Amino acid sequence: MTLAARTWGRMSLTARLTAILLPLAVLLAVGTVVGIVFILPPTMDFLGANMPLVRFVVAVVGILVLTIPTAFVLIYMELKVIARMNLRVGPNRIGPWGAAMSLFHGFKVLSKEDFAPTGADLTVFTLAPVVTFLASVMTLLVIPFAPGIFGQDLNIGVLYFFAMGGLAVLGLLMAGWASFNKYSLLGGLRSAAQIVSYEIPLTISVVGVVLLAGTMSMNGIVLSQSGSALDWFAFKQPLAVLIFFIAATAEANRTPFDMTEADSEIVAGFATEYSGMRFGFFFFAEYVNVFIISALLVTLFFGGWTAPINWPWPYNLNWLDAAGIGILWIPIALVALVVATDILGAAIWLIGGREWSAPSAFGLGLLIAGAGVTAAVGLACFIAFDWVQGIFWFFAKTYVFVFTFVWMRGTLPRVRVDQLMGFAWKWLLPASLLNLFVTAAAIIILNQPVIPR
Amino acid sequence: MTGIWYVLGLAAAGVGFVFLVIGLAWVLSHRNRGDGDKGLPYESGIDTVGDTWGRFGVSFYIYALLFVAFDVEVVFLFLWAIVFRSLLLGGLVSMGTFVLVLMLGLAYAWRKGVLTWR
Amino acid sequence: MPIGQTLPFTAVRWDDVLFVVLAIMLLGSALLVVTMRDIIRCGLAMIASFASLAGIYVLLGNPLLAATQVLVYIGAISILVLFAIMLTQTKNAPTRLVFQTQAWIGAVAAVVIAAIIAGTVLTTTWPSTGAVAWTATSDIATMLFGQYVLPFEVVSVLLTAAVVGGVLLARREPPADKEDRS
Repeated sequence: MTLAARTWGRMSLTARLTAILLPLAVLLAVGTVVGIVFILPPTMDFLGANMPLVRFVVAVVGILVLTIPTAFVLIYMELKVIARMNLRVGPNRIGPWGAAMSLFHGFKVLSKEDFAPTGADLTVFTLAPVVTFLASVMTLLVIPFAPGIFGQDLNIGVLYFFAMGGLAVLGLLMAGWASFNKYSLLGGLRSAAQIVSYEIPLTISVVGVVLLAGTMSMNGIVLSQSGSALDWFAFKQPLAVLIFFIAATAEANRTPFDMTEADSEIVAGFATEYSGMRFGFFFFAEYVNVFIISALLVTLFFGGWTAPINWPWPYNLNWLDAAGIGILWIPIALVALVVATDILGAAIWLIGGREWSAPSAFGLGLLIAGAGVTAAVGLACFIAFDWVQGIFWFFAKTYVFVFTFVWMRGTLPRVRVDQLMGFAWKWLLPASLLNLFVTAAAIIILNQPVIPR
Repeated sequence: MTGIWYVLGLAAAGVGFVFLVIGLAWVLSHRNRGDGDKGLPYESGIDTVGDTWGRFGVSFYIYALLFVAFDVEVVFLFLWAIVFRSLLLGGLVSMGTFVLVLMLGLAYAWRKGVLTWR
Repeated sequence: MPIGQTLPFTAVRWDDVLFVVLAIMLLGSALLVVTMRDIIRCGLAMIASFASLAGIYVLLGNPLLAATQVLVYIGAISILVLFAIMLTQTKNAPTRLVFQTQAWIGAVAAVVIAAIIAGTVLTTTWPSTGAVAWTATSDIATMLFGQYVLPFEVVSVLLTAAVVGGVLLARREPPADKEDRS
């Protein structure tokens, strides 16, 4: 036994912890100082000189990260909303009202065995969820969330969207083929044929919007709908909205078009042999797809991030800056929080008498004051910044449609597979072409000038 | 020109993300490769019969073929839509002819009954 | 210190770096298409080469063509090819692909074509554009529906012919037993 080992053996638990943690703390402190003095300024200079690079990294990481809470919220919504529609309670154990349910679903999928059947083509089997996930994430690049907040404003935005979205078919076919299972292959082929058939009316219904806006850029389309709700393309293209909604439901494999997961016919379709995280990514992509098609519906037909009424906001809150406050509103809000907590807590304690102990009185005061200050700051931001408003309106509208998709799943039965294809080619396609040419004729007759952008 | 960097960067980051998570799951999850029967394809509990990668109905193929034709049309439609305000009646006539000719093909397929699922 | 327009310590532009990477991917996946045995993997490698080509189109200043490449070639034609393979391929495929018996003739033809292309490239005097010429999408559209409206209409005839031919070939025989019963 060495000296060090003997010393270690004689030390108490507290002493051991101190022996480990104290040097770590010193190291951390020194490191922080060194970091602030020597590393921070050149890093800030570097980032400041490379704003395009910073924007690139932030946009890419932001889009990827956005998908995770989106999927969690959608999974929870689906569980809870459908449960309520079925007169059930739904998840109610994990977290408040079961809200952490989908998070734990994620952990469950992560810890499950990721198994591939013996006969499977392993490379293609693994790449299939990657392609499916990419197909949905890549489309998020062109969606404008708020003025100035978007991945990239491509001038062929709409075309890019459908080009990338079309890759989903590839993922389905790869999954169906690689699984070495007749149900998988049949499910993959069937859903590929379905998506391919509904993609045509989907895209043609969007051409009407491009006709009206005169541009394929998503930002341009949103800007040409600015004004009030009456300027939204939904009111100029009602038929296109209907066709788009139906076809988008089929594209995302949602009820009533979820032939892919017709468990009474082909087990779980292309995903039959998938398990663990590789299955998890199909699941993930499906929920992100619901969000994306709702977002696209909002962007193209319901004004994107524009407000439904024509209001004079954003006000420039000059009085904040005029008083020389600027960034200082953060400490001011904190001071306001403390003062309000004290006043409220004292009031509750004095009025409440014996039933309220001091901690519970001040705790309630903190709750009320916190809610008040948060609401005030949120409202101020909402009034002051157009991008806060944009994000609010965009997500509010998008989640209305997300709710509608969940609602449809709770309500409608599945269509028959023989009716499915005929409906796309015999009804939706002619209807979308009719909509297109009526729009074109209307533009000629009314001879609208080009919408200024 | 920055667009291509964004597109490729997002694609690379997405692929990296997926493989990272799948790798994490591979580390976290338990694995049991001992059972030989486990690797059999799941076809509702019945032993698989015949070739998996066999021949399927050709009706799928017709939908893909129609899709190719109409997908090309869609690209032209988008191009036509962005300049329509400078074309007006001439544009309507030329695109109308184009779509009409294509619809002849669809009508033929319809008439021959290949659009009906069998 | 901002990151410049070029790869550090060299005069190579970042876009050229991307071009080289994409070109290597294009050639590599194209080689895989003709060398791999599993025909479905050949199809997937073909898709990868289409995607790399789309990236090169963007670098050459025509994002519209790139989007069309992805939409039509990857999204539609590759799907058609994969459908065709999946609908006909059996597990017991020949281990040696049939056309490999013509490998020598193919190699000679490839070398001859490469020589012709190289000769053409070297003898042509290329106009120096300096920078990459960006093609505006609306310019393409204006030309297509103005100057080249007749070829555009012919395309529709071509597509219709393809649809009609495919339907004719793939159409099932009318069910004979139904007529027998009547």
